[in-house]
Amino acid sequence: MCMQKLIILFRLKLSKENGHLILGTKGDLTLAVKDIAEAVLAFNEAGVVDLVKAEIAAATDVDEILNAGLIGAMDIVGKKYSDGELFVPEMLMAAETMKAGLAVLKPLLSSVGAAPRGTVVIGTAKGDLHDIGKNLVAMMMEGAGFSVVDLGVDIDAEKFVKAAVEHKADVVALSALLTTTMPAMEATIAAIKKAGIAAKIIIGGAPVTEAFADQIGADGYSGDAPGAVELARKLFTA
Amino acid sequence: MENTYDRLKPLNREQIELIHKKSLEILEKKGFWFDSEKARNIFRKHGFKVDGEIVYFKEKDIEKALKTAPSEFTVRARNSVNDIKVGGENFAFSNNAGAPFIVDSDGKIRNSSSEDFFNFLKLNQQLEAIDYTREMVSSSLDIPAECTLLYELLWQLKLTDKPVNCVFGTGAGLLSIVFGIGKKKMRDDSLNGITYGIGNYNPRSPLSLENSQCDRCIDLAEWGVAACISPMPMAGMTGPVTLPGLIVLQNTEILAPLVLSQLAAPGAPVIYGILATVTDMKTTVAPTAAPEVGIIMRAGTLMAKYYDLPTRGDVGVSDSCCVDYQAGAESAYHFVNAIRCGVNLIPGLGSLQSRGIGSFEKLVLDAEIAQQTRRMLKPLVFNEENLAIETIMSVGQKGHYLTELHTLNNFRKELYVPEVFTRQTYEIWAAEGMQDSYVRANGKVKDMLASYKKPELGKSLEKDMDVYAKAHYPVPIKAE
Repeated sequence: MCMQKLIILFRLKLSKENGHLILGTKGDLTLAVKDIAEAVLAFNEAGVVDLVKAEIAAATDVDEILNAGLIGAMDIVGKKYSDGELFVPEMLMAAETMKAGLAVLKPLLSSVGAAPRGTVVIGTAKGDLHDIGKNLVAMMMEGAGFSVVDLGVDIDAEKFVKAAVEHKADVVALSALLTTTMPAMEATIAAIKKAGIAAKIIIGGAPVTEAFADQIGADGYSGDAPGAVELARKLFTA
Repeated sequence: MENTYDRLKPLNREQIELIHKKSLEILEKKGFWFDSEKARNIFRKHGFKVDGEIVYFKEKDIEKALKTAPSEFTVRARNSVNDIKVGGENFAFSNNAGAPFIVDSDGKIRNSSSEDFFNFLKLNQQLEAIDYTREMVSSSLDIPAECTLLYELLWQLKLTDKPVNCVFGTGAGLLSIVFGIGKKKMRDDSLNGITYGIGNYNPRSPLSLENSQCDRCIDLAEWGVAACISPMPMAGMTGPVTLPGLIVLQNTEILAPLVLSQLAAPGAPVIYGILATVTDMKTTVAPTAAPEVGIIMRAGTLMAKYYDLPTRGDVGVSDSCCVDYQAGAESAYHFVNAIRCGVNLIPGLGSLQSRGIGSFEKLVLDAEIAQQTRRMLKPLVFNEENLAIETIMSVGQKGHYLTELHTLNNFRKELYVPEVFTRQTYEIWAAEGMQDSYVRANGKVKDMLASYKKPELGKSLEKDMDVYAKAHYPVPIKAE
């Protein structure tokens, strides 16, 4: 009942905003791709899957489906979250919905040469089992079009280095919730640098600050998931 | 007719039993994840169904454990005047523990250091409101992480002579040196209602106990040290978003480790920890002073009373980032609520930003509010002296009470005198520099740190404590 209401509200809002929020589309395709974005924003997983399939069948440009449809929707979600209009559960639900569409699109992406925005290797610091924040960041990164390798919890420096090399990471993301596991992030950063890996390293977690990030040689810090996505984008294009 | 009207009545008898029943159902059908082979072996030995890392419970197992867990006990202090009783009608305040940051009087935060940690202990020792002590801020950035807990316990025992709440397996060994008794005696005393410290372990929501916490549960039970079983499910994140479901989950996450403690050492003192809270859906932080916490606190104490167990709640932990109107309001109404509900252990003084930041000034101000709350909720005593009919008759209609012997004899014990809050007229207040409560608290902090005296501790005992600490964790013993 409530969810239905929410979806209707979203649709109403979107119908007013779509015109200028989804850019870069052309010709007759605009409307159909816009529907994909709308379905993401309405958390309509089945709808997204059907619409993406229909667009593929109609030979719509895969890049367009991805960037204007799926990622475009998540950009709107990110903005609405920053504006305080959306809450975290809604943001995550949209990311899940987007991923369902992405799964349909994925086999075609490599065949047409559309590259992901970059690869993020992510995990919690050695000794730290708290992963909700890390999972949130991973979901949002995927939603933003990054390819994400989630190593899980309690990851030592060696595993981070190995995964960064193996997956050709562009960004390595570490998190710690405990003051006792924060120092492990410093060791991991040192190991990544020592191994000569060029990936940018970003960190986060409740007790982590910008100053701490600077102190241990991280390339960036964010206090929340959308901020981490922004940071990764900035570092990836830098 | 007895006046029993109270709006804050989240659970009736039927709902209490329903929560208990639902917890049993979860533990029987879904089980509980114990991330420790040692813990699972204890369950196996007692004939529990263990499938992989999940342990399943039957109603009779839980009923049996609830029967052996004590309802009341005394926690001894190094100085016996400071002993506290836990359970029943008793309550005791303490500070919050483990904040990684400290806020200075300019409003800026920084990582806490050992010096801050020592200074908090010096305040704890002197503040009358603090009944037992904990490590207010983390000292872990100064010393290796693996040494933190023993280090912090060592200094609590040196700089204060109040009961300590930072105890784990190795720490219990330190207590045995301080109290001059062995492990067996500590365990035996716990069966006779006496324990020598309080420890904590935190089930990880939902429905699990991590390896290190399993060890702590078993160790503390074997040493006879009281243990707060403190899960902290967050509504909508690590627990259901609706409060009845959250209360069921919290209850379940206390019962399963409680059974482990009673299997490891039947009769081991445990405390029902009420820490469940909500989720701020904009930031995903766990606010600790949300209004919902008031309901959860009441519901939790009702469940604990149903089981006849002592309780712990985290109260006075403000979500504000500075010592302001919000911080004071949150301390005040949660203190009143907690004591009204009958929570036994009330740690949380001095904390800001949902546990993240410690403040000397807030500790002093919270101590003031705690003392006022203590006064407000002190039951009236009706006797001839307090009814004062004789004095009323003697003063009559045209006299006053200021020069009555009855007033002189009673006013100091009857009337609360604030230490930091003011009751001055505006003119006097302005003439004295228009100081707000924060400035006055800051002044009191400075005075207390200057006048601190280390409680007496025999030189040879202190040496033994250092030797023990050094043997277990080879870190330099910093001077205070």
